[in-house]
Amino acid sequence: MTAVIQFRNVSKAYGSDARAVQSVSFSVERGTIFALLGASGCGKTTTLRLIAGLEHPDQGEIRLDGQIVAGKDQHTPPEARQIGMVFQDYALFPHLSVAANIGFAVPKLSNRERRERVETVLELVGLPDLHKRFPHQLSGGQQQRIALARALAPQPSVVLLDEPFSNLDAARRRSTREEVRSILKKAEMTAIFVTHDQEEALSIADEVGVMRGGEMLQIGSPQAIYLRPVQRDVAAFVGEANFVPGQAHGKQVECSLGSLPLAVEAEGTVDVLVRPEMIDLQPDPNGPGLIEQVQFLGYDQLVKVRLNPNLLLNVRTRTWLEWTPGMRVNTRIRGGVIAYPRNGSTQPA
Amino acid sequence: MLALVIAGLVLLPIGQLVTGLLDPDWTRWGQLWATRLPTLLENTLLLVAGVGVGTFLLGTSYAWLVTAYDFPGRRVFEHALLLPLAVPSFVMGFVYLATFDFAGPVQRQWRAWFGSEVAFPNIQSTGGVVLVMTLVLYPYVYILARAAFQEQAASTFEAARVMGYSRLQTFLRLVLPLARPSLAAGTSLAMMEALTDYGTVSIFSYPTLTEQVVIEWEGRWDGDFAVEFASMLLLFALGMVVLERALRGRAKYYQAGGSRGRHPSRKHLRGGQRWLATLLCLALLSVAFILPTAQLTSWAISEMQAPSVGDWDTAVYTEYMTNSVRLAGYAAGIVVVLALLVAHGARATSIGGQRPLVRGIVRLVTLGYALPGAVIALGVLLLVTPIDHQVTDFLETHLGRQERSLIFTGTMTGLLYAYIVRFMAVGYSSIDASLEKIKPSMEEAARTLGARPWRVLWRIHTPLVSTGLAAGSILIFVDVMKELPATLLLRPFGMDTLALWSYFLARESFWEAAALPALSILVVGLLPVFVLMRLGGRGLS
Repeated sequence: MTAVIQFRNVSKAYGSDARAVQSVSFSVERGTIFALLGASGCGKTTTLRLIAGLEHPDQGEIRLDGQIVAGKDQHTPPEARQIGMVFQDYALFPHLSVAANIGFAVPKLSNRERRERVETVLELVGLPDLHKRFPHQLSGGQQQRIALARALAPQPSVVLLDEPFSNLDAARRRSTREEVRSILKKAEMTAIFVTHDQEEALSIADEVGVMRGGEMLQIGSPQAIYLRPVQRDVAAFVGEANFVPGQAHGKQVECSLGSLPLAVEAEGTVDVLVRPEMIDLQPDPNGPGLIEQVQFLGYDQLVKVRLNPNLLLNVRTRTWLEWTPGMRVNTRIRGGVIAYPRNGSTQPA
Repeated sequence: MLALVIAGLVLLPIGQLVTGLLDPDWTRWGQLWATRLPTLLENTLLLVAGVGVGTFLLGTSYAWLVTAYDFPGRRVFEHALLLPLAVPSFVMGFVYLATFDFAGPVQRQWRAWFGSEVAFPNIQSTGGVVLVMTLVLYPYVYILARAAFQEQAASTFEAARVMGYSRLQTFLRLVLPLARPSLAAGTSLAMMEALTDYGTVSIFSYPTLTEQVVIEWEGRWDGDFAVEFASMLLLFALGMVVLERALRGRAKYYQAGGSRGRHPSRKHLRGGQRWLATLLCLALLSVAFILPTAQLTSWAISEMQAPSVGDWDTAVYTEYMTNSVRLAGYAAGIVVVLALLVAHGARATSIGGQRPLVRGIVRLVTLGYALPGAVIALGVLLLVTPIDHQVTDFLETHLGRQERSLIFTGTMTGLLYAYIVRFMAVGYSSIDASLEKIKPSMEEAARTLGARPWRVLWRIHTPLVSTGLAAGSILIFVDVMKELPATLLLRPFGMDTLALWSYFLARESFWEAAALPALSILVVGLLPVFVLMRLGGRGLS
């Protein structure tokens, strides 16, 4: 058994509010980077805090390294769980230097060993010269990496990261998250992080769990989550989505975009998920589509194409193609599509 | 749990007093109602209300003057207006009494000019006491008002100006209402001080309820009745606390972001106006600090050159000084540690839960500040005297020891206990305020890094609230230095403090002799004032 974390039917409610986490089960294998993805209030942060021991579950069981840490009549306090956590605000202790912050995590080591450990983790996060600084003398990105170094110092079995990149500006975010991923991989660390940013989740995680309303909707690889969402809701949350009504017959679906191959077989009245970048446009004076609006975004552009009075498609195309409102176009779909039964949330067959 | 135990120990003496309400001696109450009680009630209410109004008007208007306007000397006055806080109120009282009394220099000059037919207003009156206490207590309102005004966002103020309100209209319609929680806190503090004051009213022979407690006890007419009487003051104190809550309204008014960086620009006063502002500040500072201090200094010097009471004895002075400093030091140290444990134990955390009940009980420890020292002293006596006797009886019967050494009433212990009850609120508020500013993620981070709760308290919370600890301990230190009634009732035999020494001499009108110990307390009292100047009032509310 190599699962570092196992949730079995874990539920947690706050006061009289709706349940924050509802019967969630999942497990995370050693060495995996796992993302909990969802909108605010979906229960992802509560899930993270349950792992850390900062909250008690009302029901269910949580195992860390095979040991039950939370369950019926069982609650291991956070300090005894040997997990590392990077907080959204980093939570560096303002009165302690960088070295003392990291040293705080390893009180039982001798002074020499502690110094060495501090050096090692600072080296790991690529900030070897900062040990004498105080938190307020660091930039946001540096604070974040120091917080990560501090979490890694006691060599925990898992590191938890709560919205780790939300306090960084957009320019910094992309480079920092690649760094964090490579640090975690270099340390061969199991990590769970919480994010509301689907691009962030898809780009760093080995595995993604999508949550909504306290429930875990789908767990899978980034590709699976994006290309084969099991529910309409997942599809709509992870990336942009067009839903086109159609009739499915096993491996084919008939809709206003034509007869399309299905990636997963389905039957009956369905909504077809078509990602905006799956659609190719060709100028055609007799084409069925009418361009209504073009948003130029730099690296690509968003074109809104009216197919019929009830269907407006979002299409993403490269920027070297010039589209203008009023043009008529033809559409072509690349790759297999996914269909969801109308008026139902059951999974596609 | 520890927090609850400590809170319980602090509340125990107060709880003892409630027993005084259970079986009232109606005959004595009847007699008192027929004789002194109406006057006592009237005097007390007039004093508390007068000080409330006076400190509110002085504190708020001067705070606005130094926040909204610029004039020569503003930077100095802004801080200097806090100085009267260092003057114990009974000292201010006897300085004013000596100066404006019938035999004092002002009235002699008056009679020299106008003859003895034209009456000079009597200083030993309600107006006189209110004036003296207001001059000492207005800084409570001033400092909190100034902090509140400064924290208000410039944009709020500017929005009102753009809508066409004048500076004064903006002040009355916007700035004041926004600062209401702070103004209420400051005014209630001043009113509580007035309610619990013993020294000033006794020197002015202005009978109040607080003074009557001491009389009932000291007169030993009836110990039980003194307790009953004290328990009535407990109701007054509760009333004050409720009043404070009501005045405060919603506890916090949040300001949208950006309030820190930019303050409304000060208006530069021109021409005569600017000097008028300077003069106003100088006038208040003179009557509330400079002149009294000068008078005390001159008395102290003349006393040291030619003693008016006995011979000048450095050893006596040193002894009283040592007693004061020891008591104040112990009290400050103990209170701050207990307050930290209580506030820390009761704070709401994600890990420990919200604990509203614990928090509610613990909040009660602040009640002591609304209670006169004499009332608390009685509560402590009621609690410890039986224990003392039990212990000595035990020692006598089982060990055959003859000397009656009383562990509480025979030593500083009982007195320190009373100080703890009385000043717990000071320590608790300053520490609780700092604790609330620490983000919960600090503790959560420490816990996930393997630290047990005690290590979190010692390594994370204690250093982070060190400013609050320092501010709290200095405030308590000085409060104890000035304390009169509890010390009077509970000090072990033969142990006098600077404050008591000064008070006894002043009560007998030996002004010169009383000046030196008074001045010593005043100088020590400047310490927290300097701390407050740096904190800008943050540690007080």
